[in-house]
Amino acid sequence: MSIIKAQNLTYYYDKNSRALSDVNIEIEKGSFVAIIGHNGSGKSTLARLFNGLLTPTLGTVTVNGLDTRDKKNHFQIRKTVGVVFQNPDNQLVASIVEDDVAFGMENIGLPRDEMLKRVDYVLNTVGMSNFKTATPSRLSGGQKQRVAIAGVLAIMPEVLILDESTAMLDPVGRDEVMSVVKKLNKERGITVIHITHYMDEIVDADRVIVLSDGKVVLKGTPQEIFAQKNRLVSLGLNVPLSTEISTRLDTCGVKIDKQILTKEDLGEALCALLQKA
Amino acid sequence: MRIVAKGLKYSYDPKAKFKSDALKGVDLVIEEGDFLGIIGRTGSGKSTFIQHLNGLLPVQKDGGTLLVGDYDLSFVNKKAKKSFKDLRKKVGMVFQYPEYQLFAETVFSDVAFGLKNFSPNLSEEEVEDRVRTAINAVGLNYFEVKDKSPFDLSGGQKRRVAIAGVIVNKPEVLVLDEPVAGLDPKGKDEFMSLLHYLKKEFVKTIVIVSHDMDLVCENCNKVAVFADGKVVKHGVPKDVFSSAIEMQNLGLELPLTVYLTALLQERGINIDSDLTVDGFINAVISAKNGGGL
Repeated sequence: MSIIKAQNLTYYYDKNSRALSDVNIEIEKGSFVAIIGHNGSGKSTLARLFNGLLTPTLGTVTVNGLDTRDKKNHFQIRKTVGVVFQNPDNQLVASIVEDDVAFGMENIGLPRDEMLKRVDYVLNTVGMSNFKTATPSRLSGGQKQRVAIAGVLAIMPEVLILDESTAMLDPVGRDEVMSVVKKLNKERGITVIHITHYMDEIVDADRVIVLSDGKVVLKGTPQEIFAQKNRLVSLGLNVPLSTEISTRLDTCGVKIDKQILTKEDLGEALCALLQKA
Repeated sequence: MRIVAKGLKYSYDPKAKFKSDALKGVDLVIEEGDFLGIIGRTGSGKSTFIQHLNGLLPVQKDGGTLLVGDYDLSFVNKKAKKSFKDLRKKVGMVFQYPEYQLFAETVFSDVAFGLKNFSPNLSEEEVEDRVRTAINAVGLNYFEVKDKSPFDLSGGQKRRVAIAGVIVNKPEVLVLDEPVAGLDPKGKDEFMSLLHYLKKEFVKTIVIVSHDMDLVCENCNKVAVFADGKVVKHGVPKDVFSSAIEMQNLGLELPLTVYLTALLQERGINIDSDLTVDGFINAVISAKNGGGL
């Protein structure tokens, strides 16, 4: 069953700049979908169309069957689809972590008891319970993004969109955020839409959607997508470095029979290969 | 110009009772001609250190010594005010997401802004000449972009304009904080090629701060590892990354080639390479064909 559906979706920022043209996408409930594409390919525009921050110029976007063009639906749609943006410093509003997490809940008018319960619950989920009374400005980037995710989770959305939420983080921060998000997807069944430039973050996604110049140019599993190195390079993208090394060895006559997506895959393949030699 | 830091200390709040130092005695020599990669976890002092290189952060009292070429930036006394103007021409600083700092109406005036401030006596022709050279140097077409608003350019182009605004002052050292953050894979590759080109043609030394270990391992001739306000390792990538365990203890990821070399070694297979991707691939091929020389 699809939770978000874009049909013939076209979006113009103004007459001369078309950001998306004729996009057809269905996001399955409970799936982990990665969206990749060069800078300016329309990824962030798409994210904003998915929760009604932008509405289609042509075509439709529906969330659980609700049309984003109808303003009456916006409240429900934004409760269903939460977005975490790129810059951790731009999305925390309060001076104490727990107040920040509660901000969204205050806006939807939850009773205080319920808010208190949910703050504890979501901070625990993202591994930030010990920072409940901390000041957001003193947290690391990864910690800030986890607080931002907690604030979104408190609304109990069905879909979590990460719009390059890992781009400004160091490797440790990226790992923290990615492991929380993967857990939410696997254990809670939250649908995740992950927009990123890091090819190695999406190797275990259920599906990958590739955008280029506002159009969907490739769709498939990571295996299918990363088998098309030349196509990806021509789209301004690339395969993970492990895949790259394996393909280059292959063209030099060192055959690796299996498709390589991660460093662990490559390590094992090389061990097997060289132990035989 | 050679950069020598000795026992460099810095505290953001030196008067606080329980002061915590951002730099706790940095010893580092950056030779002219280096392409240095500075790595280390968030909060290890990387950014604090690079801001000393052009005097944005002054060396504090009892804060050690810092020589940048002929400039002695060490603390003398409060009254001896130093002029950093010439130094800042020589050491160009490019911050994270430099495209956010563009502000002028046209690309030309944005690039010319710093130049006119640093060198107010230049004639109009000289300014135009320098700006044209700088814009072409960063791989943009001068006549195509000079009259455009910087905000109409793509993200990668904007970043290039920001670099042109630094290159235009003819610096000898170019310092960049996270230069490829937020760029797509192609943009990232192109940007690193640009840095190599600039180093060949326009600047003598490049210093980058990066969290991308593969990128540092591939592009830098020297690596300095910061941890807890000090430089704990410094040298060629091969030596710095030689101990996988040490890197992990410092909370740093391993470059892929280092990870693979260490894994193979654990299984009794020795692959000797310079740890670049090309070098690693060639070493694997010869091990396969030569049966491990």
